[in-house]
Amino acid sequence: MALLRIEDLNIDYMTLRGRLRAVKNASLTLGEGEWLSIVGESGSGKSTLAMAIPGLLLPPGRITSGRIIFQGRDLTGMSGDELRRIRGSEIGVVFQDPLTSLDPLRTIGDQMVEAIMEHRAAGSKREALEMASAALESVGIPGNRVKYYPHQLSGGQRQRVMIAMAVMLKPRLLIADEPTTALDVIVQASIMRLLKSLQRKMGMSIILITHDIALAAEVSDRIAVMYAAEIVEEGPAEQVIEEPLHPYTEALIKSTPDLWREKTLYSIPGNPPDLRNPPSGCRFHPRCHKAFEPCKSREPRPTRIRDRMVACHLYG
Amino acid sequence: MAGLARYLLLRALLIIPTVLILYTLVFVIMRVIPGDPVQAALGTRYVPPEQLELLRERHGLNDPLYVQYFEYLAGVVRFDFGESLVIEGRKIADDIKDRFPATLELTIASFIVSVGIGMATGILAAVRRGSKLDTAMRVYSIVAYTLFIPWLGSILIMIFSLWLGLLPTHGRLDPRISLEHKTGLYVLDAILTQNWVALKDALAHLVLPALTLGIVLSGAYTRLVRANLSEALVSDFVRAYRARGVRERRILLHALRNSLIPVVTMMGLQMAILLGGAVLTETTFSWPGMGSYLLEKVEARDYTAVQGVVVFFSFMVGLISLIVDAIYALIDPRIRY
Repeated sequence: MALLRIEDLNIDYMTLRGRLRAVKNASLTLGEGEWLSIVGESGSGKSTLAMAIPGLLLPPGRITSGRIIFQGRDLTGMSGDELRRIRGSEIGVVFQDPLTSLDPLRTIGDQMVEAIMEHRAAGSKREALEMASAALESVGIPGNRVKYYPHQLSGGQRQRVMIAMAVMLKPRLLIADEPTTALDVIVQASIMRLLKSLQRKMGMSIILITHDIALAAEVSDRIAVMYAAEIVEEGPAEQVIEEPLHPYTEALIKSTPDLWREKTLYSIPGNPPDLRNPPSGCRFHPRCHKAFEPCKSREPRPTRIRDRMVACHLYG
Repeated sequence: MAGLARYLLLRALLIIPTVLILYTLVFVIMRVIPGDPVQAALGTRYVPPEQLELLRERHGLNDPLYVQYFEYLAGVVRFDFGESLVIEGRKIADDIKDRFPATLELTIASFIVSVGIGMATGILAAVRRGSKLDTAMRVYSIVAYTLFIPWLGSILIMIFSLWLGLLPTHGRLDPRISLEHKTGLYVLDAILTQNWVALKDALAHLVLPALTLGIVLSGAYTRLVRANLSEALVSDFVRAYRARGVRERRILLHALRNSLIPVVTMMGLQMAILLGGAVLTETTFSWPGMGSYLLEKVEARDYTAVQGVVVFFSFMVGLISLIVDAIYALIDPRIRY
């Protein structure tokens, strides 16, 4: 059985200038121990989709329809407190900016112990502190750093601390929202290696949100590509990278810089659409070089091709 | 903790130059103002020139300026601010000892009221941001902030003293009640001497002035707490707390602590201003504090008294800023210079 199944999920932001659909009819399945990367540009809805899973949408964001089935239970129907119990214990989250994601006024240990005690995962504060320092050791930070304040650690160390906090209660699912965007390339690589090894050791599933399709290609089992609030393609990582089906995926891969290829960097013509007023038909058609008649008028339906999915008129 | 101790010691030492600069300023200003202080203090009364000369000599006004400067400074170190120009032989330090406790008592009471109301309304507004309650709190803050103290004081006196007859209209204590003055803070004195009749009466006298001043000052806190807390509540670390499954009530406390630095800053500023005497409140309620004292002395052109009060006040400002710095350091571990 799948660990997580998202079915026809719609997420709206109620803004002063009207309703904005940030995620449209999203469906995804994630198996136990699987690594899924959701790739897309800024504003494509990838973070919104991922944050909706543990109930961390920022207002005025709201799930308007659809289901999120996690370990057989629908998270969309849960009360705030039921969701809270799942967050941190069964689903861990790592955020983009480790510099601002830790409370600057409290020690690392205090923040970890608090979460452990909230989930009653330890009998005493002392036991919780031992768990916290063990969790730090597991991400390569000396256990005595529990006494440190966030400002006494570097950016990379802080992201390791965030990861330790996210996995210390052995969650089944880890959501990492652009965990390396705020860090330099060398640290980036070590953080990705850390996530990979933790995944293997603990057998948890990972959802990685990233705009970097090359990074996704290296680490993922599966890749989902989002464009303008929709999942346009999804499938096994190798296949999606080697032979992309959707013209957007293809363009995204082409616009990745490559040190060994001497040529100017490709860029997709035009800009992502305004989600308050998306283009008719296929949302990508104004920027697509393969667009033909039906693309302008009809929305493409998601089509299954073996264990891949694509939403494009070329295939349906 | 060694870092913290060193930091506080440095801050404490900084009070000295602060006071020195203020004292020098006051000293210079007093000497630059045109007119002879002795003549001004005596007003239009005719005094023979020999006697004027005698008074000048007595107050050291004939000495060279640098002698005056250092002699006064030597007095200040011993808490001696000289003698009144108007009332023969009256020591300014004694006046301050008489009046300051009244101001301190009113300051503490109105501080509790303003911070209490301001924090409560500000937190409510921030937590329910965008709701009707939020709007109500914001309207409250503006109204409170713009109220005129004598007007609000008179209204409260009218309701609670004249109509309901619950509270006294003015003063600090019913003159028929005797109370041994140990600290000059009547509430504290009454508790120390276990004089419960006096305690009840002193508190009753304190309610209206404290409420008047407290309400007017609370408006600024409402706005400040609302603005800073609602910003903290949408910050990344709050979302991270949520992601770890921490309860909302605990998250609110952590966010509040993070939004407290600017609030503590304002508390310090307000406290310092209040210790200088709340003139309007003191005159409305005939409260014998520093504010009304300074007003009397300025009117009487008692130069040494004014100078003494300002120097004393600069000590208070220095002391308050030291306390504020200590609180900063307690709140935020990053503050250790």
